[in-house]
Amino acid sequence: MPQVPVQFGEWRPDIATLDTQFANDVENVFPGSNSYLPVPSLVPFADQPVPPPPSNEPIVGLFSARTTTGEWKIYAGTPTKLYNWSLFAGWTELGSGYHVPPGELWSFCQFGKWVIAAQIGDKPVKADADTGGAFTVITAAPIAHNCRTIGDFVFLGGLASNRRKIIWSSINDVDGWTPGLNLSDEQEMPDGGPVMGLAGDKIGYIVQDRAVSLLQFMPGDTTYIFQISKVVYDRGCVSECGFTSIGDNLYLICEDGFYHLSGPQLTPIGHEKVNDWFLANSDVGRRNVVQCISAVKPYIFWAYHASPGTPAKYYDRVILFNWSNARWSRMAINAQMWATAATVNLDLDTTGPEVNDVNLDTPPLPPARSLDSFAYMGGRPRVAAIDPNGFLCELAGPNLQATMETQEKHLVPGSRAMVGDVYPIADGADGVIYNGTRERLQDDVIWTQAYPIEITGSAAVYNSARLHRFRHIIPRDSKWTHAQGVMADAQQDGTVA
Amino acid sequence: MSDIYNDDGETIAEMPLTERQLAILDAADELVVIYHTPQLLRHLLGEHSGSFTLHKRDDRVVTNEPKVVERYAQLQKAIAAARRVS
Repeated sequence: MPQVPVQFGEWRPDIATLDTQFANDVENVFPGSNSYLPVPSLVPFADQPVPPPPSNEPIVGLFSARTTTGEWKIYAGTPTKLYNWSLFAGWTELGSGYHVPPGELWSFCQFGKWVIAAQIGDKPVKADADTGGAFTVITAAPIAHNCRTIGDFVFLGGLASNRRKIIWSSINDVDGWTPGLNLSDEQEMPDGGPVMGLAGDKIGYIVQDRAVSLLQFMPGDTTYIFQISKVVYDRGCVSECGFTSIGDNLYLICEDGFYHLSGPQLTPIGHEKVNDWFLANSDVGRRNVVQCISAVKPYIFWAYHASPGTPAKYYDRVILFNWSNARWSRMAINAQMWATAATVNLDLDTTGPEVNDVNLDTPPLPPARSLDSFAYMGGRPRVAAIDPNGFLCELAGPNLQATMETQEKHLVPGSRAMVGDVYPIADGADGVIYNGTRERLQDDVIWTQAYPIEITGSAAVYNSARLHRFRHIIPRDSKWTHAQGVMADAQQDGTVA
Repeated sequence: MSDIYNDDGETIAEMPLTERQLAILDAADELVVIYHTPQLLRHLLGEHSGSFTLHKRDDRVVTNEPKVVERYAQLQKAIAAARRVS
């Protein structure tokens, strides 16, 4: 039989994929330029949950900061408490008595040695990352939804007194919040709705519900301090944590999908790709808490709730964008909160004086960490999350079950095609192949049973139809690196090869 | 709020000093204070700006530029009044 290559191709569920090079569906894979790559699962890194039992409050904030000496510290917040995690001491409560309202999240930023946390229920608080001290109230600062460090200033956005207002601190002073003093000042956006947050640095962004403005520091200008110019008039971010900046580039989710803003240049990155799919497959009632993080490698994650039925405590889906090749993918992972985090390193020398060396050779309590744990790679940023049980995890576990589905194809144009063996082009991958068929575009797709990949490396499908598509499912824990598509043995039905 | 004194020991203004600013003064350094009319009140108060230095003598925060500090204090009063109105 002639062999017909059918690539998985770029995932673009918003367009017709008949006889194109685009994939119909993918799940739990990273999008490479000509293949899909496996997504690891979340594996617990901390030995104890946050918040410590018996509390079962949800985690509504996760942040990592660096001390003056370069060590990493991880902070998490519940609606009422703030915690710090370290490899040696586990979770330590650093503040309590807060009032994060339902549907709101903590917003964190770092300024020098200070970690600053803001939310609309209370005044912002700060903690000394170097000393590990408790959070204290920044008494002079107003209550605000979010915070961000831009240049030598701390910004607060979405003030309780007026959600269209931002205020910035005195220069190099997290406690100076008197407008008119030491370059501190405030600005009210005349329109554009509530300020959802700020992003960027050299080029800052004020992200509103229905507008985005550029914010540029004017050195030496003690009158205006920052130049603010609106560059997006009719779109803004739907979530207070639904945007991120990489360099001077802003990525955000708007009411009608995903966009990239570089200075004044707005580019739709999800149009005719994933926007319609996302809007149809996410809970509209909770888009206001979609969480965006800039992950390691060129990936941006947007964590969201797939449906109104998703429990309130955690996100159950992630849609991810590879900004180096403008390709999308998605993941089905449950996590309360995502972040890019790192920790201090734990060395492999168990005879040295380092605290907690005992962790390495006294299983089972606590068990020794696996050799690829990021405990041994201190300071190296990794994608982290708090899982539904409250454990701090890294995205470095066994590979998740991956699903990739090709476009629908006339394998033999003008005729029914008899498909024999289907050979997945995926290294090291086990799994099964499904064949979806129909005779007319007006018919529903009928899926076959799962055909295992045999010792020949092919799945014996043997199915006849006019239109074919193939789904490759690679089971959890399989070790593989790339999946490109399938090679289908196909010939005109009724003929002999 | 901290009282600001002139060289003659008279109080000429009061201003909020942050933990960091107090630490600078305690270290016997000079502290530069920059002020300006807040942007949202500029249409009411006009544009004013300036700077002055403070230092600590004994336990008092002292300035060598009393006239500038007085202008700062007048602006603060005007800001407070404008905020009450708006």
